[in-house]
Amino acid sequence: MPSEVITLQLGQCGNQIGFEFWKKLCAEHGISSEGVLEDFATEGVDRKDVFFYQADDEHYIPRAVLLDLEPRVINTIMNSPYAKLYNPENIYLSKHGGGAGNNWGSGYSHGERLFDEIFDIIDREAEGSENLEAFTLCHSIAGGTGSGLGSYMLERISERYPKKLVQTYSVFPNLAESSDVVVQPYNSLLTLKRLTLNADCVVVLDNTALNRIATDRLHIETPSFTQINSLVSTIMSASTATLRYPSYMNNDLIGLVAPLIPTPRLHFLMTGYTPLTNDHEETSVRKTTVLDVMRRLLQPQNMMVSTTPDRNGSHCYTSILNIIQGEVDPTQIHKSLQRIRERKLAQFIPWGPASIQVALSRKSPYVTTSHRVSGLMLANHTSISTLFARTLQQFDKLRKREAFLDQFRKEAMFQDSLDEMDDSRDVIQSLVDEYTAATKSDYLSWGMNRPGALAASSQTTA
Amino acid sequence: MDENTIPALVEKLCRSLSSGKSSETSKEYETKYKLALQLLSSQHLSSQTHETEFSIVQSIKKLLGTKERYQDARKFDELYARLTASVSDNHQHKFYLNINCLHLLQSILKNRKAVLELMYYLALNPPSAANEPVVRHSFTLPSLASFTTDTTTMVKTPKNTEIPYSPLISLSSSKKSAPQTTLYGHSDVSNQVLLREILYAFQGIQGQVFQWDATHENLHLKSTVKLPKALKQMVLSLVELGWLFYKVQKYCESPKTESTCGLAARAFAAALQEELSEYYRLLAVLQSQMEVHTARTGDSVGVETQGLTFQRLLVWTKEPKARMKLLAALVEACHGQRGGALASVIHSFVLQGNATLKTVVLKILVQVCRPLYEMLMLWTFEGELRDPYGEFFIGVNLAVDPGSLWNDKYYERSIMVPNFFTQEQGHQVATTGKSICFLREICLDKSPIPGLNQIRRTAEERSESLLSLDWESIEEAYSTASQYLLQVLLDRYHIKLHLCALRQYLLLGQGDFVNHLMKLVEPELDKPANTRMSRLLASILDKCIRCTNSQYDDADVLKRLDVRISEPSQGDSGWDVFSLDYKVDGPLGTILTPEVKTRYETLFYALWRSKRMEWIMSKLRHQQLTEGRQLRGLLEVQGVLHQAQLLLSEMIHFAQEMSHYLSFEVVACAWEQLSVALRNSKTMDQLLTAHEHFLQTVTSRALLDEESKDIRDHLRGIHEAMLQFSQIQERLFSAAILEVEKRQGKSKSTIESFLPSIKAKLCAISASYQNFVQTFLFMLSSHSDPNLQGLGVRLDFNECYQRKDSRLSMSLTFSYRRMTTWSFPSQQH
Repeated sequence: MPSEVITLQLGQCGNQIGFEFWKKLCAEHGISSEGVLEDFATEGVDRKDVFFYQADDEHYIPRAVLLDLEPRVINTIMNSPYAKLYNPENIYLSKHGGGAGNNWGSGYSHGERLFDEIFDIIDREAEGSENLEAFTLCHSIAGGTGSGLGSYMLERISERYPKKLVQTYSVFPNLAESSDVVVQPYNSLLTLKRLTLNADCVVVLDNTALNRIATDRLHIETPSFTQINSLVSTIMSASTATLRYPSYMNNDLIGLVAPLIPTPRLHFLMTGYTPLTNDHEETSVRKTTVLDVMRRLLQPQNMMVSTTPDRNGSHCYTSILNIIQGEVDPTQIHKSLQRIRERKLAQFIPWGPASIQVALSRKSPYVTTSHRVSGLMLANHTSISTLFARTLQQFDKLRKREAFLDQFRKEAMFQDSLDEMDDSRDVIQSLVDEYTAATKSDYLSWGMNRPGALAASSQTTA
Repeated sequence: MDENTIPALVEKLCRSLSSGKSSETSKEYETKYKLALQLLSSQHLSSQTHETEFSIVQSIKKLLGTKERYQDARKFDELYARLTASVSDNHQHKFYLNINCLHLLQSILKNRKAVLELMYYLALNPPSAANEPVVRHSFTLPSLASFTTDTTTMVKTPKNTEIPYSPLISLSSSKKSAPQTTLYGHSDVSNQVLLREILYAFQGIQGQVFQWDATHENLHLKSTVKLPKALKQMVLSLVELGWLFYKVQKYCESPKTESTCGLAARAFAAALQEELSEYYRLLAVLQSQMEVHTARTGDSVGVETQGLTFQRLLVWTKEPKARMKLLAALVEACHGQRGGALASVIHSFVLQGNATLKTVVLKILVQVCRPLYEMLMLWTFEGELRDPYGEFFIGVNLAVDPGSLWNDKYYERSIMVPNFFTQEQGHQVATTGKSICFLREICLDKSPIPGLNQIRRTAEERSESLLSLDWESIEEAYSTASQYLLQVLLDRYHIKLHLCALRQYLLLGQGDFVNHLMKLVEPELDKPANTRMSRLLASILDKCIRCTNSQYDDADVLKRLDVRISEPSQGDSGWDVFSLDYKVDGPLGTILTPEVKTRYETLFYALWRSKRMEWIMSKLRHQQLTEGRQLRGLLEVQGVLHQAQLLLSEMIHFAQEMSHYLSFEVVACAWEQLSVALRNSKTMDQLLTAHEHFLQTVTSRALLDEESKDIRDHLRGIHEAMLQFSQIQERLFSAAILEVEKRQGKSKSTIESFLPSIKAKLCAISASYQNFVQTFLFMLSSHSDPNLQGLGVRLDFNECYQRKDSRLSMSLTFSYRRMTTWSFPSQQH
């Protein structure tokens, strides 16, 4: 009875990163592109059943549901060698095929219309698992389908499966370059509200940072989606490593998430990864120690989130989990932690105990890498709020001008008023406030001073 | 006197030589006997004339030739040929002769040359030629060397060539009449009588002059006997030899049953007996000297050129007395000693300056050690303990069940380890035999250990006795046997696999299995404990194995895995009595003895408890995340929820760090060491030591040793607080959700009735929890084990508690730590 996780891939971005994720998982578990267990994959130290189910002895099928409102990406998948990997019944492509037109409202109302069909698939999948622990949603927050349909799904799932965890891998838009999607700030904000209220854990994948890493660290001039998505899939697979290769600790999602999230709202996680390499580049010859890995994980340039530089220096870590894969001497961990502590390489919250947790995990025996040790950091850092603050700013700019709202007014939710937008703004503002409060030592009494600020705003839509 | 003693035989020889006319017979016999004795006591009978046996034989034949006794010469040739031949088939004779004869025969055969020489001189020297060159040494006393049966050494020893007194000068003018006035003054007893009495006394026999004192076990001068003071002193000094003799003889004759004394002590007695028979021989010589003397004085010639005097006696008995003293000292020291201890005591006499005495001790020691040597060889190479009287330094405890053969069945009797063995050597011998026993009895492997027989042959070739044991071979046997055993354990009994299984299951290494088990047994273990649970729990265990990665584990491992319900006491819940069990048998049971298993069980309880806390904390967080969504509309509870969330964060942090510490810093790190040690282990003992070290490390670092008892209590307090918090949150959530439902149904709100009490309880539990944690951290910071100090650092990684509690920041200073390392200040709650 594993703690199964069902993955929902929404929209172009969601399906693209989902595709890369399954490619990676197949490689790591020795499963062919057609879902057949490779002859060499006989080790039996991994747990495939968390993410796959078995059709028969040899045949593994991802617990994945692929949803999109336009056919392009799903067609690409269906024309790839991995076409036969998925359960065809789990692939849902809107019959209209028109897409959401990068409009959150459109995506959301599509969801309302398609509810029955989509939840047929999800319910069947849920019933097929013995001990479903969580849903994982892959999407982007800026477009139409991933954000709008995604938001709708988040609301419905938390209603329909109140006892299941909902985790998301949410791709945040690249703010470094101007987007062709002008309503991006609206989409983002509306989605962020659902991520705040209806998800339990959000892994923030910031396109700004991912592009920066691709150009600065991997020396790719104009990084392609595939290259960026490969980075994302690395993070996704590493963050699920302890579920798939059970060892002492963090063997289920709640065990992974519980220490990272101090209160139910503060559940937006940053990631960092090392070593960052692409196919053409060799890693440095130097032997990598645990300390090296942990130190690099704390360096801003390895973070997959681009936060605004912290002027006051008050932002801090609430918690850190380092998942280290590869050949690691367990006796080195404590020493490394002490060094990090002595050098004060990480600043932690002032109001409660916090530390760097380390999970050692196996590395897949079937995937060869040039490095012996790799590390993923999952961190709850209050500076993630600067990302939300930036979204708020951009939103405010558009909202003040009442720009590009016509498309939204066409959708049912916004026909009467734009209250939903303002309400979302309140939720995000209060989230930013709470993150700021969490940098101060009186955070313990924060809830007392502002009774239900967050709850009040959410009541309107609840 | 025994017919077969040397003096008796010599006498017989002389009598047969001097068969002839009766008048002449006695005289001739007397001369011949005297000559024989002179020859015997002379030191270098042949050093000038005869170098080899061959030359003596030639001389004899020549002598016979000159006397024209060709017939006899031929007969001699023939006899001589038979004599030399008989040496080679010496063994056959053993069957026909009694022990004494055999002994005599052997000494004759061994000293063939000397015997032939004696014959030659007896024939060569006419009766009147008694004072010819040979006689020059006539009064030379049997040297110490002559005590040995090997008379060839006597011949070679240049020792007593210098004679302290020239017999011709000494006392030559003293005249005797009774009562006599001697050099020493007036005496009641004649010197002759006195001398005879002294000779008796040498044998511990009382007479006219000396009286046996039973209380002091000594001979005393009878009070009626008056002797001049100087003489008395001399006499008493002489008689001391008798006392020494008595002591030695008493030891030899003291009734010896083997069960009380053992083989070594008997061998010791036999060796002493041998020494004593040499002593008897000396007495015989002295006796004969006496008789010569008496004969002369009977003739009233009046000139004492030969015979016995006090001074001679004193000189002649000087070295025998030293020997006897040594023997007496040995006897004294060895009183009541047996086996290896006896050998040790005797060996302590080896280290002395007197080379001659050292040889004596060594000779005795070799004999004493003979039975021990046999035992050692049998034990080392066959694992057989043939030690009916408990003399060997390895003992067996037959009451021990086979499961603890390695640890308890065979034990080393340290007192029986000969002191010329090092401790390491003794241990090696013990382990070698034990390894063989283990293979035979526990692994039921009767096949010979490869190479061991060859080593045995080498060992037997190279070592003559226990003293000259070839340690190189023993060491080789040790490493061969232990390595073979280890290999059998590794290859056939998969020791590593089982140790690994213990780590995976009893020490909770198999994460998915443990998680799953926790989930499945929780509802059962929350109930009050009863012994009937075990069947249900066993079926849960099976289920748990089937649907986790444990299903891929070795079938043998899974077969051994079981649940254990210990006897519940009043008020126990299932959690208090449940543990995993790993069934072991055969060789495995010897390594994982019940004692070791108990320690694993203790570890399991601690790790399982920590895991359970982690599990409960995760569940509470899950509730906050999922059910918490329903409470968003309930403004009144937001404050208390926030508090509960942050307290839970703190608890989760603690539980996670604690679990992490236990599984990584404690188990994983110690396991890493164990794995290295297992790879490098060459012997079973090394393997056991490594495992023992592993268990000790894990136990002490997991706060399970005696030193950490107080800390353990605090940890328990922390766990209790967590459980209490769990109940409070349950109550908060059920009440709050009820309230939400009421509001939806527009029923009357009851929130104000439960909220204050929950708030108060939450505050109380928060305060008590904090207090426990801070004291816990304080105790860790002053713990002597740096690993536990490290745990304290990890639990307060961001110094959050340190800021709150001045005790903690102070405790981190070096001077404070030094102050408190050995004593905890009393804890306040």
